[in-house]
Amino acid sequence: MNSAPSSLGSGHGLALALGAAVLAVWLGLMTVSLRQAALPAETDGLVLAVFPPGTSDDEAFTAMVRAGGEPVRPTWLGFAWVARGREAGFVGRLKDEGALGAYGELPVGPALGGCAVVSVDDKRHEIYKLRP
Amino acid sequence: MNTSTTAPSGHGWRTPAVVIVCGCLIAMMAFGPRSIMGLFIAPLSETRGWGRDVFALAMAIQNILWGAGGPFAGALADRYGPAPVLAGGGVLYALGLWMTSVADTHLMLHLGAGVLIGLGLSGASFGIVIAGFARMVPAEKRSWSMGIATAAGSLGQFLFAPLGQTFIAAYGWQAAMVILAGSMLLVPVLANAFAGSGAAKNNTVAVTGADIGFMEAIRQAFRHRSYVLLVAGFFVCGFQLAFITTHLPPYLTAAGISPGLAAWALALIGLFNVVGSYASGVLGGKMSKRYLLCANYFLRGVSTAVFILLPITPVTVIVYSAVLGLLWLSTVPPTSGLVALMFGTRYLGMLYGFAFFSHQVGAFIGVWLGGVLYERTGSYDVVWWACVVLALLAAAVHWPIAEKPAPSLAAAEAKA
Repeated sequence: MNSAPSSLGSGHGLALALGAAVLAVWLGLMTVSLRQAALPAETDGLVLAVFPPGTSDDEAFTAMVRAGGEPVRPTWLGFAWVARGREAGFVGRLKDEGALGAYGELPVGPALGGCAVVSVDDKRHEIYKLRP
Repeated sequence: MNTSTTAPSGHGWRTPAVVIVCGCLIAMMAFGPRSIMGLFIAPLSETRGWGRDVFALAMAIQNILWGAGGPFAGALADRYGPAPVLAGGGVLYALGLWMTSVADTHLMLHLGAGVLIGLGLSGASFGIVIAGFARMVPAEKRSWSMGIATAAGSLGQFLFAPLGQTFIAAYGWQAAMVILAGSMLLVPVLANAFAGSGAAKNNTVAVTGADIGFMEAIRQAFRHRSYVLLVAGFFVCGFQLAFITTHLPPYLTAAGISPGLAAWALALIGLFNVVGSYASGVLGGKMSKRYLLCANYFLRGVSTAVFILLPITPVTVIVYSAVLGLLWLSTVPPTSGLVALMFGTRYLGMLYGFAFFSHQVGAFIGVWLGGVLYERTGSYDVVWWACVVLALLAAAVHWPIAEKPAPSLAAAEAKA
């Protein structure tokens, strides 16, 4: 055997560094794809308005009304609301009022596969699906 | 122990740290896409006009081949080293994802999502990564390396879920699948870190275990009581995980838990799973692996019993999810570690593959039984209690395992 064993140390530092690097790449990919998935500024109609996490219901409500729309209902994800805007440019105005973006559908939800199974019951995903 | 002692062949960059990083990335990438395959059912079925049964059969084929292909892929990795097996698995996985994205017949879907991805998983999942780590990482770090590989796989499924969903929203399901296929082509590149760790030419750490041939290794393993007990115990792990993965969300929502909290429950299991898998690897290097497994199954049984006996509230859901997450895949490092301890690393890929096949059979029965009994009795109670009883049985089954090299191995080595 060679002296390689000592290069790993306890290994916890390597684990943390690897985890941090993976999270950084993941955040970058999420940011890019979320931007791609966002509706264009001129969109109107029923949309899913996403606000920064931590936004209170009152703040979100006010932003949607100021943008010329009406809040339809909150979602299980506290900072995402279904909202309706009747005039073109609703999404752009929502962003001006502080929304991160608006989406046609955002099927955000955890998937738990383990090493065992993939559920083919898409009702499970419907539980979490965020759609106007 | 009898070991291969070929001198290092000069691949200087393949240090244990590089091997660990590359192996973890492979485990992460292999686990991610398959854990979100369910998200593609609706768009694929709508686009092609197929019923859910078509996709369900493809998934069944995938799971069967992943399990059944495990021993064969493991044997190939034991014979030729993990690098070509991981690389081949990555290519098959990528081909399978691509074929699924363009499949316009049932046969193409079953071939792509079923056969190719199933075989790809056999070759490129963490079972092979773990076998590779065991050969290339110093013995005192072996358990830790098995823990970090399992944790990486767990993190992969946790991170790929929102990523895959956002890809679908941004680019459509077919493009999302092609992106995932492209990402799998990184696996052959990463697998290069494992090159040169075949049975005959190990770079870093000696291969341990007598060179008795595959058939003799299988025969000896299944004659060794402790290995059989270990394989039987792993069946329970598969049963519980598969049942809970599939049936926990509808169980919670039927009990009046909000979809938001049900989502958080799954997320908590996934998150704590990363911590539990890693901690299990660390602990396995410091204490008895047998006791770790006994404790894991015992705690699963007790926590599940408490959960179903108490009224279901947000607090019990969160606490149970966190506990379950800690115990989720933390059986993998001690189980694979015990196989390595009993028989050495020479046939670890194949012998762990058999244990994993038992796990997959348990998974199949857990999902199937959950659905059947729910339809017959109108509740999940019977299967929940089956989970409790099986967990306690598994704890008892692991207790008599002899945590030492198998006598047949010692005899073979003495003869060698």
